[in-house]
Amino acid sequence: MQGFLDNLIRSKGFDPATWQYTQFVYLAGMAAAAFIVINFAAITAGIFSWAERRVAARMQSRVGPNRVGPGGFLQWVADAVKLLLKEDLVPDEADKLLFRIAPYFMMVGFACVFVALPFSHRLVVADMNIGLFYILAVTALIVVGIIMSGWSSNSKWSLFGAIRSAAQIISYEIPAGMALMIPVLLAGTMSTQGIIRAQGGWPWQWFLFNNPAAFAAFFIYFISALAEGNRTPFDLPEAESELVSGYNTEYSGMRFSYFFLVEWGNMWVMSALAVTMFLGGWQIPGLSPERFDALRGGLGVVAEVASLAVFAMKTLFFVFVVMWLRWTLPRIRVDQMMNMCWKYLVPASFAGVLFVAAWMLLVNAQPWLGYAMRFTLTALGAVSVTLFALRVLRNIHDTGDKFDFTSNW
Amino acid sequence: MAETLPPSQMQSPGAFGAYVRNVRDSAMSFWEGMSVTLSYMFRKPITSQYPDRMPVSVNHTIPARYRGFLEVDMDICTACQACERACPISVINIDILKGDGKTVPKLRMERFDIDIGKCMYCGLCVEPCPTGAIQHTREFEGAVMHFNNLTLRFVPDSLQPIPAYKPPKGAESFPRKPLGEITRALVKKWDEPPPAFPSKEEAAKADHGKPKAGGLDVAAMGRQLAAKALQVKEDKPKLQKVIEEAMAGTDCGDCGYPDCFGYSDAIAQGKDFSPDKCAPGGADSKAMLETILVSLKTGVVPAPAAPAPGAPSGGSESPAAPASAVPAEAVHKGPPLAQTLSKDELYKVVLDAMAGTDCGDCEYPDCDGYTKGIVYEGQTDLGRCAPGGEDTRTKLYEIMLGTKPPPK
Amino acid sequence: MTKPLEVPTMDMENKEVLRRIEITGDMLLNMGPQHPSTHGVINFLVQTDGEVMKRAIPEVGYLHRSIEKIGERCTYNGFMPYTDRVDYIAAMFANQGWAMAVERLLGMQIPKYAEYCRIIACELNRISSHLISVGTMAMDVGAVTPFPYALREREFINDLLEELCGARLTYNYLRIGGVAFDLPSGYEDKVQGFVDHFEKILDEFNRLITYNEIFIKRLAHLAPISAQMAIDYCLVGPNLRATGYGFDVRKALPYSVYPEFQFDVPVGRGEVGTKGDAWDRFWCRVEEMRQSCRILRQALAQMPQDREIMAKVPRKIKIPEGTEAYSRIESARGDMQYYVVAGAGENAHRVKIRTGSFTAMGIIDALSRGLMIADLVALIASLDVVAPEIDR
Repeated sequence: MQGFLDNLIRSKGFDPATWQYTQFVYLAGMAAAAFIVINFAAITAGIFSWAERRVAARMQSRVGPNRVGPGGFLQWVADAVKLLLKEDLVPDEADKLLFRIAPYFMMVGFACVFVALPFSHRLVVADMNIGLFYILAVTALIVVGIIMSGWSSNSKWSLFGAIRSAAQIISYEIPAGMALMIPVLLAGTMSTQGIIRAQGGWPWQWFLFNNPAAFAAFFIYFISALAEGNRTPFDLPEAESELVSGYNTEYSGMRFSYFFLVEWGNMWVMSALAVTMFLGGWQIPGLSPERFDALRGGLGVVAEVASLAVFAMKTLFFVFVVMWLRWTLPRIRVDQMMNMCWKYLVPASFAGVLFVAAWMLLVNAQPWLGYAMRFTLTALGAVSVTLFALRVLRNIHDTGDKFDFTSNW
Repeated sequence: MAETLPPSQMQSPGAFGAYVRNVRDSAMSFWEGMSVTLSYMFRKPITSQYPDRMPVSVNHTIPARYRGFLEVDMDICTACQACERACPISVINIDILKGDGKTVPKLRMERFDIDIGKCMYCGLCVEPCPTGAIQHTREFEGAVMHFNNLTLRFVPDSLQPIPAYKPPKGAESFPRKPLGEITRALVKKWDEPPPAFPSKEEAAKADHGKPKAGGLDVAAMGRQLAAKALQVKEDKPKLQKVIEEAMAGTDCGDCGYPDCFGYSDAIAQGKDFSPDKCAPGGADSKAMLETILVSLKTGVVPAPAAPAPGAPSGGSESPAAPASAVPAEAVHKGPPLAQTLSKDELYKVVLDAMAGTDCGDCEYPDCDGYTKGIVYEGQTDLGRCAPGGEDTRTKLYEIMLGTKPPPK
Repeated sequence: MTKPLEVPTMDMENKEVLRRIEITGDMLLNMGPQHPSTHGVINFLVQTDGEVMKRAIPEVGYLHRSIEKIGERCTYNGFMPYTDRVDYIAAMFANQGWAMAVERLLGMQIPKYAEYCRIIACELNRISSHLISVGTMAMDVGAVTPFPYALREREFINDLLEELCGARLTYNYLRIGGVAFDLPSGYEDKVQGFVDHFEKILDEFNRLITYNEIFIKRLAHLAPISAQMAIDYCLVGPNLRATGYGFDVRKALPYSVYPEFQFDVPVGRGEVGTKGDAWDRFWCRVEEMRQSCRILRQALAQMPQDREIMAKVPRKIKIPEGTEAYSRIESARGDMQYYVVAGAGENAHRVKIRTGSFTAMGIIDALSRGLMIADLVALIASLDVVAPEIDR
């Protein structure tokens, strides 16, 4: 974004390095970007709440909200308005200051990630060369917010939820980080735009199908991201059937909605990161990054919009997968979750990093190995997707139903 | 406890195998589970969007036997109160006015209230109704603005009581309004404010639920009927008609006979001597039948008892007789029935005195056996009928020996 | 002078718990009586040190409605709707227990066709009761989706039973001496169609949740009950059979026309964990649904065609005072027993109902030492307790 602002200043005839108002322009630019990003985050989170309810309903053979707006699309607006109008309760015995600011810690930790996400070829707020490192650091603020909310509620149930959640998130930072190191190794840079540029548009150019360890790393990252976002199967901290909502039991109104905003917005964040790191981000199949940079004029705009659409589609698909997992899987218990993290994911991610390092040396010596592996893995991936789709269709036929997506909407 | 690998297994070479198996099992089971949920996403949801996006109103899709709100068609209600007696929680309240049948109808209903807020929709009231007047409808949408409106009043104005229906003899079906029409009409008024509660003075003056003797002098009518019965004593059909006048005339079947004809015929033929079987008739009917039975046995109409100062005009008046089923001394002056009746008639009387359950507790295979034993084979142990108990024992001693049974 | 014997009461037990908690510094939590996962209004006093519990004491009685006392006031037929409410999820069984007890008081036999109608209604109700049990077990463990699937299948059964007797939950279908209504026309085909459809759904259900790895990890090895412990604590029904002891009243003390059917009784084998753990209890219920389908098929095929639904019973049922009768049936939750003493007139003198959920409460304290709170929820769900049955 800095380059964009510098170009803007130059076009007005000033030299950014010496002009006295440069910093103000930067500040204004940052404020504008922050405004857009926060709005985007909040609105996406709201829309996801509607989408989750519809997806959940259709998976459970029900209809979901469909009265407010077309297809129930404005349901989240109604919910947001309702939450805004609710009574703002602060429990008597609670630690008032911590209780009030805990949600904001979470919001900050969550919203800051958007700064480094590359939405399209040129749309990224700050393309830092330590982009990934920055993301991993900033998401840790969420833990602080959770512990503060649990402790300050002065309720045993909330405390339970907060401590569980803290243990969970902190533990799963490690496999997530290590799994994300693999794309960094493969790309040679921590900048998110750089990692995307190192991939391509076609599936066999993605890091996902690069080698088996990267494939495993994708799943390790995805599972860890689910755990960090408190999503089922790791939603023990807010297990409704056990703890009556865990660390956000005592919250009501807008403060309560912050927690859920963060949770749903996190779905976008984790999916976007997965897409960026492993699935080639905004890359359009058939258009290499260099040719993309050279495009100008109308074609450039079209390509830009196309790359934004590609990124959004991929991310939305993974958001759907996150929702799908929530409504299929049961919840893992705390000790089993820790068990899985430390005994399964951590060793696997370390082993993966070592394997990828070795693999890169091997491919350097024998490039054909790299191509062979990528095409084999892509083929395997395509085959499994087809098998899965067939299995789904067979499920429908086995019980005597028909494929029907549009009725009783 | 939690599922963890025991420490011993961690060092063994099988640990890696278990590790791989765990991962593989998880992956396979997730694959299966996720395919199921995704497949449901592409099927038609099974829920119906009630109430506005329904193709057909729900009342037309629920089965015929559905137990919704109750409905009473007053045109065919015989005021037998069988439904009121059958209800385990007393949600049906019926107030009956008795008449003599000449100036006013014999039975009129002043109040027929069903509290569907308290009703548990069990259907026990529908079964004993002889004409099918009370039925469950398919109405179930019952949100009211005023709680008192949950009492359905099928007699809209208690100052205009509705006469009971006299079903034609032998009728198999009874004409009825379409099911649900009456209840729907009442339900439409649910949002109106209910009638006000009566004030304290009005409530103090009210007579809660006792059958009012509007126009019926029980004693006088009993004597009238007794006199007529004596006149037509030999003509059994005419006697039966006279006796039937003393009953409620609802053909409810609670007496154990299929209809009033059966019961009155049994009395007329001398097979039945109990005057208290007519439940709708209640105490009035019992008094009148007792009078008739006394007169048939003694041959004279009992004289009216001197009215006690301030006593009401109704009530039983058998002289010095407790209100028991068969006033022993009054009916059986003279030799016991065992000596006056023929064996066949005696058989019928004795059989009637037993419980009639064929339980076999008397050591005979059934009631018939025990009766035959007493009548034909000289069985002297008269206390064997266990279901009948003390009641039967008393009656049998009365019939066979004409005395009170000895204490056990 | 000796002190009078101190009979331990619930109050004393709780005070003791509280006293000990003050000493050790553990937390005392109240799970319930309003809680999303205790199946009804039951309270649990949970003494816990962090995540691991020291003990969990159930407190019952929040749903006591004096049904047994009401039995002394109602006529025999009039009490039938009250038995529906003793266990409203498996109401046909409660009806049947009462009908059998009073029929034994009267010493009467009911027509075979009526027995078959009862069996069809009862087995359908067994399936629907197990569907709720299995669905809520999955939901308590975190998988929300199997619950609507189970409810959807239960809706088909509700529709069938609604067509049969007019109600969807509290049926009041049985009467003393038979059943209230005959099967409507075309009913046999509908039941057959449902059974065919349901067996496929059961397979799908197994694929979705029963053999799901996380589900197994949650429930396997959880609170295993040995057969001896189950007998000591008087567990009945699927809880008992999961421990490996295959006692089913339909086979051991056959009643009605059950001897004419061929069906298996699923017994826990410890397939994925220990024998008698929570997963075995879950699996037993799923398999029992399959066996119920089998019984339904045979019943539909073997029914007599005479359509006699009621034996001859007097309108007013009067039984000599003091006669006693006892009936035992295999309800969805196990062995349900009715003891009735006839009173003077048309009422009973005493009605006593013994249900499986009440005794299952007793074992929770013993099993919950050392469990985690998440496990306690799964344990209660696996024992399939329903609060109305506990408190009556």
